[in-house]
Amino acid sequence: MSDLPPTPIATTIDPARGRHVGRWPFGILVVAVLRLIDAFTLAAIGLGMRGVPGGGLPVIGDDLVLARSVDLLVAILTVAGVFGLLSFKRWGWVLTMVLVGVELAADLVLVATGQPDHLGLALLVVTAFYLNGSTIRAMAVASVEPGPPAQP
Amino acid sequence: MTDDLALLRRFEPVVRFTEGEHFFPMSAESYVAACDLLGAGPGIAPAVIVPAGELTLDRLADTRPIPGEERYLRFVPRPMDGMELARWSRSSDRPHFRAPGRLARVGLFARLIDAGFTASLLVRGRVPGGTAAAAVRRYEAIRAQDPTVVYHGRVIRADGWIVLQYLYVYCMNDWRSSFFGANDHEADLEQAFVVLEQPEDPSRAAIPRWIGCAAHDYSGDDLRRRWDDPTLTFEGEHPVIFAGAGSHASYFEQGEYVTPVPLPAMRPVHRGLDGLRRFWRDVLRQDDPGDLAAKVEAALSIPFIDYARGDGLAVGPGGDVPWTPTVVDDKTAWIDGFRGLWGLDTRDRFAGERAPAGPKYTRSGTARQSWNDPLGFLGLDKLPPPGRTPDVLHDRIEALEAEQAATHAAADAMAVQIRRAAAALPHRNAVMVQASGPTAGELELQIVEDELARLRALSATLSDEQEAARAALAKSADGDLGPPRAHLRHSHRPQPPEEQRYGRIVEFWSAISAGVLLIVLVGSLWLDLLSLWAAPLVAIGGYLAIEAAFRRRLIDLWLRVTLALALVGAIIIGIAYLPVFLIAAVAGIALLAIVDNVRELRA
Repeated sequence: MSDLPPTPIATTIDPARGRHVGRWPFGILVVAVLRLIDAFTLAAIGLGMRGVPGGGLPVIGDDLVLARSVDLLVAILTVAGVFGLLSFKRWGWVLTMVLVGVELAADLVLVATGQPDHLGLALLVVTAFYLNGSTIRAMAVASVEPGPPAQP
Repeated sequence: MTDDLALLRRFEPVVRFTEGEHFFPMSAESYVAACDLLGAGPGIAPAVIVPAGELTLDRLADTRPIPGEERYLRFVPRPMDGMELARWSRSSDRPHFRAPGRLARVGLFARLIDAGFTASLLVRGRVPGGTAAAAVRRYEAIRAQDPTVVYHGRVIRADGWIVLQYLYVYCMNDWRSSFFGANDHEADLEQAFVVLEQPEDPSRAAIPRWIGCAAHDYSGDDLRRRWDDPTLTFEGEHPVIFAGAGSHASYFEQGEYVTPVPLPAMRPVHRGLDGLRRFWRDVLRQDDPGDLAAKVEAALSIPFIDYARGDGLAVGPGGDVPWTPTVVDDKTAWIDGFRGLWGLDTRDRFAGERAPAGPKYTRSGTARQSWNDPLGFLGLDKLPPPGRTPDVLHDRIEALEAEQAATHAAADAMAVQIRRAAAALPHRNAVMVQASGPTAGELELQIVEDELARLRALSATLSDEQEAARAALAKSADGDLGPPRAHLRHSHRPQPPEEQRYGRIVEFWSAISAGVLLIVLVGSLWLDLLSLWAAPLVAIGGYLAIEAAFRRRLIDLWLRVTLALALVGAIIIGIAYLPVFLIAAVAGIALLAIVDNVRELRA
């Protein structure tokens, strides 16, 4: 299996600007949608909206203001990460991976305290492995390589 | 003997030492004259048999231990005490040596293991503290009388090769005491080899082909470099070798060598880590993590550095001091006659702190391969000298042709035999064969058919081998020796300079981190701040975060932690939903089978 060439992606590198242009891989779109849903959920919890399914990130202590602030901050960073990811920026990939790690840690804390969210955990696991796949990683690295100067 | 000396002098290596080195090669005679000869054994307390000043090489050769007794030399009769050592350490005329960042180059576990190794010296047999310093004093006194730097050279002629063996006798290995290394021991015998091709025409001069050095944990092919290896340095016709500070191990390249001493317990873990790597890369389709086993082994090894900087004294042609050679051979009495150790016998069970035996013998008194069979020691037994390679290949091709002709003839004869046998067998249909099984004749025919197939496969292999031999012959005739480093299995290269540079903060942190980690761990448990499982987690996590921040690898660390957490999450989900996954897998296979069969019906 490993000898097969990587799955072709419907993107190219713009030689003038040294970054990807064209369509996103389908998986990236799915990840982006999932991350945005996650961000909006966290933002809603952070803003204190009622009737939102799930809970925010487990924060040590009972400080509601701190908990909501952290949720809001993570929500904003998640949206920024999705933006960077869809722009094929390395920082977007790194930020998304870092946030996925933070949420994985939070979900594992929930598992340890007997309140597991298996669906959320499964989505984060799949997201982490997908983003770390060799094809997507190569794209993230390629996106920081400067392209040759544009031809007049 | 004169020819031998001329050959030895013509190719004698230049040895470059590191600034701060205390000991240089000396004559065996001077060394032995400064030593006591002791005898000891089970039930026999160590006692001086011949005191220093009275011992000569001839007397050493004549010494015969009584049954059950082992004899050894002792260079330092009384190590320096604490006061003397402190005074000596502060003296300004000592050679200067600075070696920053040894621990900064390795990870946490290696630092912990290093601390454990240091502690182990308290219970192992070891060279007493102050011995190295006392040895430096004694050696300085000897050198004041006899400033020559000496090698003992030997010439061996065998199989078209001429091996020039250079033996270097040092009075002390102070790698541990003076250079943060693995061990100290009295007496240190190192050696280098220059291997020449002896042309079949005796009027032609010998051609240098290889240089070999004994080195830590390497053997055979890895001990030698071809004369045209681009990593070698020469001073005219003299190869340059770089001696490790204190250890005196020989290196072909100038630099600092990380010499990890692996833990024996790591060996069985190798296969598991290789399997994990394949699973990660091939099944999960993740980035190849590289050789995990090697990385883990490096992380869990004791990190010693051999400093072969070559910035100190250079001995040999073009250097600071010339060599004074002494020719030895198999009949040299002190080499042949004395089987004991050449320095203090500490009885260290790991042997690192025991003195070596002489050039001809191992510590257990058996023959040492480097003396007994230097060509085999360097992995050269299997190689003919290049000038003789065409003859060897011609012989090989002839032998292969003959073998193939014989195989052909045997196969042809067998084919005729098979056809005759098959024609004579009664015809039986499948139902009859199934009912009664094969007859004796059919079985015999099958055996002969198998043998014929084997002969034809052998013939094809012989044909391939002939082709390879002819290609090698054509290259050999053109004087093409192939890539100079193709024979190497493990190429020990010095650490790149950029990996040796660390800031003072990183070095300071590296020096204290292992201790701090242990204090935090014990302190948090003692004061009941954290539970038994949380304390190591917090301590190691904190350590890793600080370490990564110092090295500006915090993001890398977090990405790795993310993957580790994802793996844990995957395992938790796998366990929680195992029945569901099994049912889904079976249902999937069933669905696939139905779709495939229906498609076949429609086709």
